[in-house]
Amino acid sequence: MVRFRDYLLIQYKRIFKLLFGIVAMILVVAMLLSAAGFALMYSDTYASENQKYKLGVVGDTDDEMISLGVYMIGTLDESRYMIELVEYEDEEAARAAMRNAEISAYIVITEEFSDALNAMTNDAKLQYYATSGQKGISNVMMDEIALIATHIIIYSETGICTLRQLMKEEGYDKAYRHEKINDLFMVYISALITRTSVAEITELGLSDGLSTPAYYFLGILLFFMLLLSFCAISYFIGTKDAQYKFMKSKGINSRAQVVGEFIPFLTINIICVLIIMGLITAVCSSGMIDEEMLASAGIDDFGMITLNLIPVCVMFSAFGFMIFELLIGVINKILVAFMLYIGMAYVSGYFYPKPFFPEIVQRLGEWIPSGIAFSYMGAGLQYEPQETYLLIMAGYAVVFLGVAIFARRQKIR
Amino acid sequence: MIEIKNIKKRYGKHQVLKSVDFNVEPGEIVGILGENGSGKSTMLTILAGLQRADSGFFNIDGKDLLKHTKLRNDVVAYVPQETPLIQELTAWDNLRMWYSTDRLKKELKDGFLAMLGIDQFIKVPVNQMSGGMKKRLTIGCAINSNPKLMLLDEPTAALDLVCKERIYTYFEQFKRRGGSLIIATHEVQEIELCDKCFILKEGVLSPYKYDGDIPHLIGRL
Repeated sequence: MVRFRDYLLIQYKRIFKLLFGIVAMILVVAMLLSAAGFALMYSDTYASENQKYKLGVVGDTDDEMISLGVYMIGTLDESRYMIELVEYEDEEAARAAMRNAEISAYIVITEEFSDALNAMTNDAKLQYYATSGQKGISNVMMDEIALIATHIIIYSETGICTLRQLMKEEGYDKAYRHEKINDLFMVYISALITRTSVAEITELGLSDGLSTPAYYFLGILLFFMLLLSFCAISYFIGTKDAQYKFMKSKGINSRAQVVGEFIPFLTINIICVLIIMGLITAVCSSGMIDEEMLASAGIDDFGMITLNLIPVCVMFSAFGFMIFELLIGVINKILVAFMLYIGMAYVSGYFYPKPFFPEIVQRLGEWIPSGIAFSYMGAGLQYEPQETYLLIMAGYAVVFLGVAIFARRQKIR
Repeated sequence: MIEIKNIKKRYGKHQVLKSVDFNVEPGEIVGILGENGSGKSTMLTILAGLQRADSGFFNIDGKDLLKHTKLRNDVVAYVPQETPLIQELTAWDNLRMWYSTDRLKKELKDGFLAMLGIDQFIKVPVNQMSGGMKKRLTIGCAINSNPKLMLLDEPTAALDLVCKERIYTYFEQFKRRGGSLIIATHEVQEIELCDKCFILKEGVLSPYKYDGDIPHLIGRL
């Protein structure tokens, strides 16, 4: 009669034979994600804690109203927090800049548009151009940018234009009209300047009270944790139902098999987490990353982060184990697992902040395993209670292993 | 004496085994013949404890092995059709799971494992082995508990003649030692090796005496 210990030992032996390949794959994934994380942390937008999207402007901006609109957006309008206008001489230059991802989109102000504006008609539209697959968060922001672009003539200017037209129709002479319009502009600008001081802007971060760097650091770290089980897929390839049946005939039932295989799998994953966190700590200690910036984002205690990652590792390992147990065929395992991980990470806000999603998707994203892991890690960074998340994660891990045992039992039958 | 009585198994509406009854004497080889999908493998997996029978008995020396799981694991060895070995590990590692180091060395020197010729490829990883090596190693792993009965599902399918001969020689040795074998097979050589045969058709097991008349056998299947 073979004992559980013998089965466990043979599985350890097996996974350690695969260790080199698993660690190599994990290091490659870690390097790619680190590069993405480094780019995020050190991009100008995040460095200044102020994400702006560049919008190209092509055409005649000499018109009084348009030049004022451009000035307002760039200096006074609330959209200045998210939009930076860049002027181009012609459309070709703007298009080239968009291809090079220097701007997110561009607008073309045609002569017809200027004429229509001055004639107080809406005959000619502002032409707005954007690519269908712009990188990063600009995809989500595209509608918002388009809206702002149409407001290049802001509401107050519409009122001023209307007043000028009425004065003209009422027969006031040109000099008088200019004088009054200028007075009105000055009153308007004074009001705007005064109004900006009625509110004080405080940066609360993207979501969950985390700062932008902390949010994306967690997103990347947890996505890496998801991919961890994917990196060890070789452990799940090559096993056949005949092996499970044979083991059962020798007294090792499906529960003992799953637990005996899961423990070495988890061990390897934890070893890899320790290696990666050790590397991250070493890189941060070497001064390659601004320690002050990390400290202000609350991601300076790597020991605590590593410790917090262990329960996440247990849950994600159990999840990975279940997925690989349920799926049949190498290609199927790889494709479905990858798509599933990407989907879960996306919905849980690993790549885009959750508030951009519809309410129902936000709720779903919070309660799926990837979302619970995010909330748990976020609470850890902010020294908030984590017990509830810990319990939910433990529950998830037990359920995943239970499903894996059930699937193994079905395979044996 | 091994008694198998009234074994029944149903998958949904499909009654795979309607009534399986036969006895196996010590030192006897029993062949189970039948078309693909006739239920031969199902019968063996029930006897090996991989799935439950809806009813019936499987007695060895008066004890019902369908109920005594631990005893069954010791006295019954099951050799599946596909290789159940751990691919990344060597023959030694695979065997080491089932044998103590001392016993393994002894068996490789002058025991049944030596008779199977496993000592010749003891350091070879399973994923570099031929089909014959894998099958011999599987048998080597299965017999670790000195079983009284071996259940073999098409043990020599797709193996070369030399390998087949080696395995048959081992079966003879096992038989001479008082062990019994139940073999699900399509191979004529294996049928000739059997002391008695049964044909499993439409869930019912019926005795068959093979006399070398293959067309007649095909007609019965």
